[in-house]
Amino acid sequence: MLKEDKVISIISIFGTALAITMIMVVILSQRIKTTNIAPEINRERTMYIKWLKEETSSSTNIIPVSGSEYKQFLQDLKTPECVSLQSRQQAMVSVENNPENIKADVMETDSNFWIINRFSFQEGKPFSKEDFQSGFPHAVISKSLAQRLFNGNPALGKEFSYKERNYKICGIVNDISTLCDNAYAQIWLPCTAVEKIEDGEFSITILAKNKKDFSEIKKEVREREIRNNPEIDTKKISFIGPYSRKELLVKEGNMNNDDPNMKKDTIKHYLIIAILLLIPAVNLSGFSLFKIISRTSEIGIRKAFGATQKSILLQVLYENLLTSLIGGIIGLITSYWVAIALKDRLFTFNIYDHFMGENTIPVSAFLSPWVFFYVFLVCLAMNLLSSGIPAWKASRLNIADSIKQ
Amino acid sequence: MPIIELNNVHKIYRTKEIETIALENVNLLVNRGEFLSVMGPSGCGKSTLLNIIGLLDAPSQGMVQLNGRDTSGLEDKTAANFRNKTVGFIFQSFHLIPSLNVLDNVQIPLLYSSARGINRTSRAKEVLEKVGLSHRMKHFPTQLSGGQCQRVAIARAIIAQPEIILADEPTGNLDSKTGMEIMELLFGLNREGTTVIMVTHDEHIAKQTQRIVRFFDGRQVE
Ligand SMILES: Nc1ncnc2c1ncn2[C@@H]1O[C@H](COP(=O)(O)OP(=O)(O)OP(=O)(O)O)[C@@H](O)[C@H]1O
Ligand SMILES: [Mg+2]
Repeated sequence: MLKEDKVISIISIFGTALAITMIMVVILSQRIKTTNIAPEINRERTMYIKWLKEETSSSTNIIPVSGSEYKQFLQDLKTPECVSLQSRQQAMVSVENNPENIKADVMETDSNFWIINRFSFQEGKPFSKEDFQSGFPHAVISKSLAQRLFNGNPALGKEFSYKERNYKICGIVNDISTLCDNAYAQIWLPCTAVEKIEDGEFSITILAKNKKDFSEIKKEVREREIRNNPEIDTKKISFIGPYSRKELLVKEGNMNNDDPNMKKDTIKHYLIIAILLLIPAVNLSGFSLFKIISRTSEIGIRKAFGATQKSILLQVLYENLLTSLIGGIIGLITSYWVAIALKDRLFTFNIYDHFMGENTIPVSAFLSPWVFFYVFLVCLAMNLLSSGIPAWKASRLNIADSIKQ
Repeated sequence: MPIIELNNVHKIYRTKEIETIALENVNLLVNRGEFLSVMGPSGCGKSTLLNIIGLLDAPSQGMVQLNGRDTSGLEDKTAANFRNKTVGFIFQSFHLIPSLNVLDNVQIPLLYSSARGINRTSRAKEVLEKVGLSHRMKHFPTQLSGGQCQRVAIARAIIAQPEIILADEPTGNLDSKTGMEIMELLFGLNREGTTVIMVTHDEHIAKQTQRIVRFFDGRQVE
């Protein structure tokens, strides 16, 4: 059948490929923001608190979470597996014997950070819980920064200076894509080595034992707010969050502490996909119709010798599915290419603008069984939409009439 | 019990401008094992009659019974089963599928039969042997002569061993020698018990069959 009307098949494969490309770029850009991607391998059971609302008798402010509030409200939450805190800095670092001061993205954090994220270490290991508790100046550094700082010489065990203190490199990791916006940095060090926790401002990451615990964790945070607030009677603290990654994305730029409307966002997402699916499907159905009309007589003959309407319907759908799948595979490959070519447009949040690192797209975001499953699903939907009605009509033709065609 | 029974069958084709009465009040009884010739001038409704008997088209009025069963309002699946097992069609102009080779064309009815355990290819080779075409199995319809196409059409019609063969001018496009060979095939099938209804314009051929039914302008005249 493919050889019968080659041109038509090639055009419809091409059309399918284009459509799949568009849809897969949308799906991939969503996936890259929400699914587990190393080192953020626990995204699906992680919650975040980035801000809090501070109400006094005279004003309401949205401000970052300070170290003292972390200690007072969040440090010893019972439901989650662990709670971690991060503070981002951009600062100059330098090493002895290298006159160049290099600007780097630094993350001041704790040892739980290494539980929530799994880095692949080239050399050494993360700084330890004891390092964090005692404020010991150990640091983990990215491979490319180590190379720049030490001109390609071995860096493990060497020292660099940051905020007028020397840090000893205890581990070297592969570079992290800025798309992993919570784990990304070029240097990671214990925040306690810089200053007392109480003096810092942080964003809080909470690892749930299971994502089913999310609402339980929210409840516990609310309880903490009620329990701990009266002690500071002049102001009332309420946290914005904790939110899952998906919720955070929907809230982006929205600084109140209402819970985001996830339902609306999901509907919006599927609506976009539905439109992206429907427009090409309607166009492709013209080709399907043409192909089926050119086979009217064959369909009549098959029915005259015992084909049921159902078997004709399935046969036409099956044959078209082949075209859809070939288009789907081409479309998937093209979508990788488009995603990589347009990554700066597609995946960048505002905060990336000043990051020093690259927003490389992790291969694992593409090569997962889920992606293939999505492509198959989209192809199937495309197939049903574009050839469903023509196939249904074909299966119902009057036999005597169609044979004569 | 007659294998085919037509009662007061009418077939009217309606388009916006014209109305054609293709069959008018046809009553016909065919007994199991009969060999029947249908004759009449062009356009008198012979093909229409076969289409209605073979459930390729529905009568506008009247009743068609196959094997004692009323065929009006049958479910698609049941009707398909009748077309598959009870009736074998040999069309006026062969109607082979051009994209399939001889072997695949012949196998079509077996694709839709639920009969298990039969080897489709070897069965197709068997019937092709019977019609004398086993040396052309990989050919496509366009690579065959008219007589060869007719043999393929016959092989396809008999592969599922139907009780009734409906043959629409099976010798019409053939020279008299090849025509006689085809007739021998049909007579052979009839001797084995198959009921045959054949449309023909050839009085000489018709005379060799058990009964002749004549049509004129959609009406049975004899
Ligand atoms: N689909 C149709 N729509 C309208 N009229 C039709 C249709 N099919 C057949 N007819 C008409 O019905 C009449 C009977 O046609 P039919 O094909 O049965 O003739 P026939 O006896 O087989 O003729 P021939 O010997 O030429 O094959 C003809 O007048 C024809 O014009
Ligand atoms: Mg005819």
